[in-house]
Amino acid sequence: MTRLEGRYRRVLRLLPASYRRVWEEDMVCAFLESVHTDDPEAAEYMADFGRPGWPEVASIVALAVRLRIGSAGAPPRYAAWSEAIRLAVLAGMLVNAAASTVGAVMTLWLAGMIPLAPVPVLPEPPGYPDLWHRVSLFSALTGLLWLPAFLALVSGRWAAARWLGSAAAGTALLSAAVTVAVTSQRISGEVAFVLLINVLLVLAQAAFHRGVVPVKRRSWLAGVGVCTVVVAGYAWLQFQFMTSLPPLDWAGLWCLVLVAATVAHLAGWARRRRDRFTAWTPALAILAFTVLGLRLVTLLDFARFGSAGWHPATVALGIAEAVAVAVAAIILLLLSARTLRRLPATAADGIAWSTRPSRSPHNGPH
Amino acid sequence: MMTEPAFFVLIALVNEPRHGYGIVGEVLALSEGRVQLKIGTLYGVLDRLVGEGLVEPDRDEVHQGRLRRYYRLTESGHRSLTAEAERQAANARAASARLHTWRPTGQGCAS
Repeated sequence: MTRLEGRYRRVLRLLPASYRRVWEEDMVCAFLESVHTDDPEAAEYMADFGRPGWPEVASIVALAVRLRIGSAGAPPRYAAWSEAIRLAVLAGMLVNAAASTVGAVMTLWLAGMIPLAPVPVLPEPPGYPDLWHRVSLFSALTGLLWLPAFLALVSGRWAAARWLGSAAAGTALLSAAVTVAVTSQRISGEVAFVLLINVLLVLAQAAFHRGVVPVKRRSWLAGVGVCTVVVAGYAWLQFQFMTSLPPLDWAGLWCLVLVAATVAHLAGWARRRRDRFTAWTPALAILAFTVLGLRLVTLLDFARFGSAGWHPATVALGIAEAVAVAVAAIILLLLSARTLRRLPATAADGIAWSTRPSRSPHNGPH
Repeated sequence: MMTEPAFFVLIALVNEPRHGYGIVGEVLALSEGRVQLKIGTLYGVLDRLVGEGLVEPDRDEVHQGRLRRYYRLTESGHRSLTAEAERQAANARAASARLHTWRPTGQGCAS
């Protein structure tokens, strides 16, 4: 193998292994022919010092991305993986839409702008200047952008969803940066994690592209209604027990929802034909690892900042929730791997390729 | 709708089976130098066309110590290409007919 061939094969490693198994030798052959020259000196120089050009590398990168986000015509395994990403993104956007709507209503209520009920007198955190209140209000109002972003995504207006999601994620980052600056407080792991998830939610919207099956609008719209009620109920509970918060914190709430969703999914999976693929299995696996991440960083926050004001059982319950979600995540991961592995990883899978040298150059129909 | 690279790859295989680099050269010639397929693009297209049954492997040949894989157009590929060529021709006819009636802005239509 020449150095040039070695370099090209290294670039090809960007492609999924299953794809390379079918196409690598052919691609290497075609590439080496494309750089072939009849001048022996130039050929020798090329073999030692030549590199695949940037346009060639870019075409491999583009192919690797297209395969992984399951663009139009992608092999079944990647199309299924892409569908799972879309479901996970929709679920994440749904939670953000519901939580930001409830958050905005709560903030406006606490600021005395919505006469819902008598406003409780909350202890003012020390060292929080007036600017913090304004930033908090700004953050709550701009957070509302998640709702139209979600609605745009559900309606198939993907460009609008990307812009609105980017604006929501960007203003959340800005608000967090200003809050840290004006209060001189360290940013909590929970806030940093949520900001990261916001950015990933926007980036992962690349999985919504031409050729994608339309979103089941009614189900997702009903979902955002149910989720808003759950979040509003949780917020109401927090205010009912203001003096001694219940042991279920925000991360704990999502651990509970995730475990319940996993149990319901597994019960459905056991009833159906077990080998049938459903994109919800890998989608729930993605969500489970996300919730596990949130649970772990919030437990670390308790270790860093203390759990004063929280119910004494919060940390112990949090550890139990982390274990339960980790178990759910592993089960979902194993099931996803099993079902995804059965789907063809290249569109050409299943075609009986001959890999032996030809008997005769004229043995095929012309 | 068929992408431009897929369209040219199918045309390149109409008369005879070709190997990967042979397809690249034929597409370049057919498009008069306009479509220069990179290897990553070509094999993305080929994988899809083989998966859809429009193209199939024809034979393998050893060339300078390497295995060359040849591809040929299937009956289904021939039908798809014919349909796409007719669709593009109809579009071109519609555009040409409309362009003949065009007058630059400001000249308006005689009433």
